[in-house]
Amino acid sequence: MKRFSTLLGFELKKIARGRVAVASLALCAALLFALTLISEMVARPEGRGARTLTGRAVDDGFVAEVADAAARAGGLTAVPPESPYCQAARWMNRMLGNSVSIADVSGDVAPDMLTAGALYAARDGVMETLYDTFGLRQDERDWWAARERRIERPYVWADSRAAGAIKADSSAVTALMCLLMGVCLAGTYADERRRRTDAMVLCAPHGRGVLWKVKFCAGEIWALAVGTALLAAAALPHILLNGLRGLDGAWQLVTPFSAYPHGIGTMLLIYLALYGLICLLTGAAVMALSVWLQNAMAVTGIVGAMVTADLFISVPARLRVLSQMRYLTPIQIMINSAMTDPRLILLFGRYVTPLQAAAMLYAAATMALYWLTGIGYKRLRAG
Amino acid sequence: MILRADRLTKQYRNRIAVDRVSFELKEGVTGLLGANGAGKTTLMRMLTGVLDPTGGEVAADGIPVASEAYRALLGYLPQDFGYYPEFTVWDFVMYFAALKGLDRPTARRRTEALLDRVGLTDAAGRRMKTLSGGMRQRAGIAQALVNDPRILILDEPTAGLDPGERVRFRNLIRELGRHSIVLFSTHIVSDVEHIADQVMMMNAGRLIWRGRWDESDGSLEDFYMKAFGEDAAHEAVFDAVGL
Repeated sequence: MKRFSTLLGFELKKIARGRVAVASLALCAALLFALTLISEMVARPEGRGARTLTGRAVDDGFVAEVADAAARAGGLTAVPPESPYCQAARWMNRMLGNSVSIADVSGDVAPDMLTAGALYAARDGVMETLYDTFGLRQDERDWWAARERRIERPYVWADSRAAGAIKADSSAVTALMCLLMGVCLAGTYADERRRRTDAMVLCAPHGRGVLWKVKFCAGEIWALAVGTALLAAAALPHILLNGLRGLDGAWQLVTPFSAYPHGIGTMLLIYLALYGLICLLTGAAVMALSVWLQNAMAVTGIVGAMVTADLFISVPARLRVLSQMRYLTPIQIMINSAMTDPRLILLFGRYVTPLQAAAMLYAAATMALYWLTGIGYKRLRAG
Repeated sequence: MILRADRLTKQYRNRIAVDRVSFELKEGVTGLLGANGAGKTTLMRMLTGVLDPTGGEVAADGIPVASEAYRALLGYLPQDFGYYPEFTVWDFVMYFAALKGLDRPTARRRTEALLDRVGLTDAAGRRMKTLSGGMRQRAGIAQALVNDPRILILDEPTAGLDPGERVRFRNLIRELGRHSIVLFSTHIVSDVEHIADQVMMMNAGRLIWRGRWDESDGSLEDFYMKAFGEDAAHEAVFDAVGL
């Protein structure tokens, strides 16, 4: 075990002192931070005064105040950024005007339609349409209805700007993290041959035994570090300028058409855990490719192609199994979560949500890749 | 300890690199001579276990080459080996000490002593990529010796060393040969003449001569030239003058 930790230190040093790895990480993190900061600075007035509404129930009185502000401004999307009602008006606009495609509508909703009842009824209507579009079976609808009943109404308003922004950025951060992993970890196993150190390593007692596990462990630690650095770079500007508030608010304030009965803080933690698993999975996949292909450039290319495919391939919802599998891929699960795929997966006689299924799938795939990496390493001979 | 190679063979498609080579080595220095492409490196790689033979076996006191116990006895300096550019000389040797299972205090002690022995104490904190070829070669020698190996296999260890370093290294090998099996390959016949207790000569994958050589037998270089012909003689001259 002592040798494991000593070797782990050396393997981490190899990765962390790689110029390309560190330079690309620093560049990506700096770029993310700068872009997020700029967008936050531009959008910041939108939230000015929004905190004064925190803690109020989204009932008829609250809705009437937002309607007044909207009437004065000429529509829900016209409420000026400096108004305390700006954030609430935009959220209500999404609740009332969103189509099933979940694209934000640019058209406005007449302020006189605005009552709490109309607001919640509109959301329920969209949810039903969403369930139809995804072809949900009756038992799945019942399952979600039971979760819906646990969400308290009226919602309690909370300033959720930072949480919403972090959630909105998460898919881009995930895509960038995957690409970066393809750069940083592609040489974990392949570089020994390229550097012609493989013969010396493989004839050492621990060179064949424990070393592949040490390298895998170092790679996974680095994967988590890269993931954390990128997430922090993207999230810090939101948190620093808005404060991470409203964590006890309903998740529906961030994602109106989600039926998860959890608070914003809990859902952020769930996504954070999922993101951590994605980091580990990506790291494991890159390292498995590295040991089997023994060519770092090829590994980086394959990872780039996979990320591109994950971003652009589309499968229609009517092809249920295929499209469910599609939505379980790492970048998609983060994008998809903005609208929440309601299709459940039957596992050992119990329904699990896509988020639960993805977590189990990623953990199992990471373990399988660990095993494959071991097999690949044991087959290695010096080049 | 006896290192035994029994009908060791390596075949690459239609070319036989090593052809049924058998020998036994005991403590002492053995020089392996042969022209380029004679099969010296392939033979050595099979003796270290980094290359699987097509046929035949290697064992040390009955311990098979593929076992961890065999690797624990082994020190290996490959020909034209690589390094980790981000490591210092100290890190480089300490890393191999850890790979060879040495605990940290022992590894420190051994690394310190070996760097002193190969004249790299002052360069211990320097990055590997900043070293000259000769200094890198010395760092490679240090990593091969860090576990105090009972079997030491050195593929062209004096390549890149200046004359002074070569003399120092010959003395080191001679000393190591007192308690270890040392097999080293070279083109430089005078290196073998000075330190080897016995000589093995390879040509076209075969062991063509093996035995003890002393001054009374005459010049090894003359014998080598006769055995390998003009080409080998030219190579030997070029190597000796560092071309």
